[in-house]
Amino acid sequence: MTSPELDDSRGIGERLRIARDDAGIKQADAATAIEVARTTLLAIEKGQRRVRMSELQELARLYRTTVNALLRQEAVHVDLTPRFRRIGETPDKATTLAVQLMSELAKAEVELENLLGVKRATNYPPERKIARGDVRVQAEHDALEIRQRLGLGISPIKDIVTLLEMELGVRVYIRRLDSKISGLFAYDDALGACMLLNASHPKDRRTQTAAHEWGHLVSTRREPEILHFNEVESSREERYANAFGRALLTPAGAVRQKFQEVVAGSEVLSRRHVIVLAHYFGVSREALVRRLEELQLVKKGLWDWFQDNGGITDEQERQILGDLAVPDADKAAADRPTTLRLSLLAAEAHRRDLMSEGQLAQLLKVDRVELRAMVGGLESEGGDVGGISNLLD
Amino acid sequence: MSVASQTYSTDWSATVVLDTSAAININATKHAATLLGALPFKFLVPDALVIELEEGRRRGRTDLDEIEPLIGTGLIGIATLDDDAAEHFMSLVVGASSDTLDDGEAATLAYAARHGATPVIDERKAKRIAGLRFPNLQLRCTVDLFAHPHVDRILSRDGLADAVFNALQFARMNVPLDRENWVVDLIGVDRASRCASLSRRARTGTQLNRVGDRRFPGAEKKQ
Repeated sequence: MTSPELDDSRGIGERLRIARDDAGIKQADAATAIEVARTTLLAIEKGQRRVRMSELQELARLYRTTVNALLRQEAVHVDLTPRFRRIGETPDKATTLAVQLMSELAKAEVELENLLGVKRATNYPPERKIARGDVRVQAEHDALEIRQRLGLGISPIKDIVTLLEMELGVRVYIRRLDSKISGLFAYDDALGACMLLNASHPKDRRTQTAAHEWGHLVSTRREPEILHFNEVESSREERYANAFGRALLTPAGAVRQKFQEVVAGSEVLSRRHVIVLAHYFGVSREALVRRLEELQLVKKGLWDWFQDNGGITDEQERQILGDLAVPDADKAAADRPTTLRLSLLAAEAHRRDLMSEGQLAQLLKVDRVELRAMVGGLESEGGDVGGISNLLD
Repeated sequence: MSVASQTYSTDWSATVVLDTSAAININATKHAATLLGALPFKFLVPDALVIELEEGRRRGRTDLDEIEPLIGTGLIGIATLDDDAAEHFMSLVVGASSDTLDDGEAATLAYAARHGATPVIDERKAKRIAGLRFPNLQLRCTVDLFAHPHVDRILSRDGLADAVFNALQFARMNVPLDRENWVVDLIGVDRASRCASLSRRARTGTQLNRVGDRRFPGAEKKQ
């Protein structure tokens, strides 16, 4: 008797192709694993040849997924990873891992939302293709338009992540990545706009990364983006995104106004002034000084001067700001097995018997004990409110 | 037989299939070899369990490191699905999320249903689905293994209490509500209060139907 077979009525072939692509496995290697010709694997992926259960199990193992994850109805199958691979030279391992991480988080979130009937509201800004002319001028204009649209005026943005999530509906993830990666951005019709920021970076750097990626959401929405630390501007798109980020976080009018207030008639910009201004706008000291140079409020090259003369140190910042220094809760949250939102969705899906322990552990890429800690406790008893609905209709 | 009334039978098959949820609990006792060796069953785990734990090993978990020697010495075998079991397996993994299970859970039930083995599985959804698809399948939970009379012959009461407490602490073992009294009696109220995976009732020492021995209330009921 031969192993049971499945036809392609559920689009199994395409799901297998996406899973193989996501895992970075070549067709030839997958074919070898299930002892068929490459053309046979191709036929399977095109839905022209039925796949045997034994082959499915072997391919699932090779692609580091499960048969259930490949075939269950609500699973999200999106080829995010290969899109990043196509935007430049072959990405290194750290970049590949970051891309896979964002892909897994977004797909898990969407699947759980769909299962639970949660509708995520999105309110993306209008797309603005980069036109001819000075990209910086366009970027400043587009950033100002965003501020006006959101009613921000020229006030500093204190929490750009919450703004992106709550006002725009962007999926923002903050997890620990290799230090050379600042962040990622991608847009997909099934997932929406997604960003991944590096929890290992200081908060002000993450803020700048988020603002930069926001620029890509506006101008190059359908092109995925990886931002590397200290990346040199190499294209109009990058110059736009950087200028957009600067204009969004440190709008010219606000910077001029605050600069006058803080400097208070002094003829030199001191380290104290820089620290206070950077703190006010939530950006790094370097970003602040370079913005002042760009707006011609200070002489060009001032940041380099500071660097050549001992820099502006974290210790000096602590002395000036003291208790005002903003704690970085997102850094601590990034050390948990998964995001808080995903653990809440998972706990609810488990409580309602919609997904099993094994399914959730596989979906969230956590081990069983971590998953039990997430879904157990209060939820398993019907909560600490007696299990009776206390929500109003 | 309704899902709600499917209770744990006192009968065991000669072959017991351990789901990942159970295997992890047994590992956490730190007495896995002793416990499994004491019990009069042939133990199997599905191949999917090995695959899942391989992935866990890549993330730094040691469950596979602890199970591999047990497989190596023959204390645990691998449950391979034949074509009939494979049909069961496919019916359990293909479909809506709410009606399907993960590969390991599905393979455990599929093998047990095909070969008349006893599956040991702590997952509530798996129990619900098993009740619907395989109403005659006799289900067991990890605690049932600990409470088996043969364990008495090998482990002292204190030794068993330590083992069960380890499973609760290190693996957050799930305990069905009708087994909690036995667990609390064994490990004591103080240790029970430190086990987050027990119900609030069990952790705070509020108990119904105190029992003095290891027989579960209603264990003789079979419907």
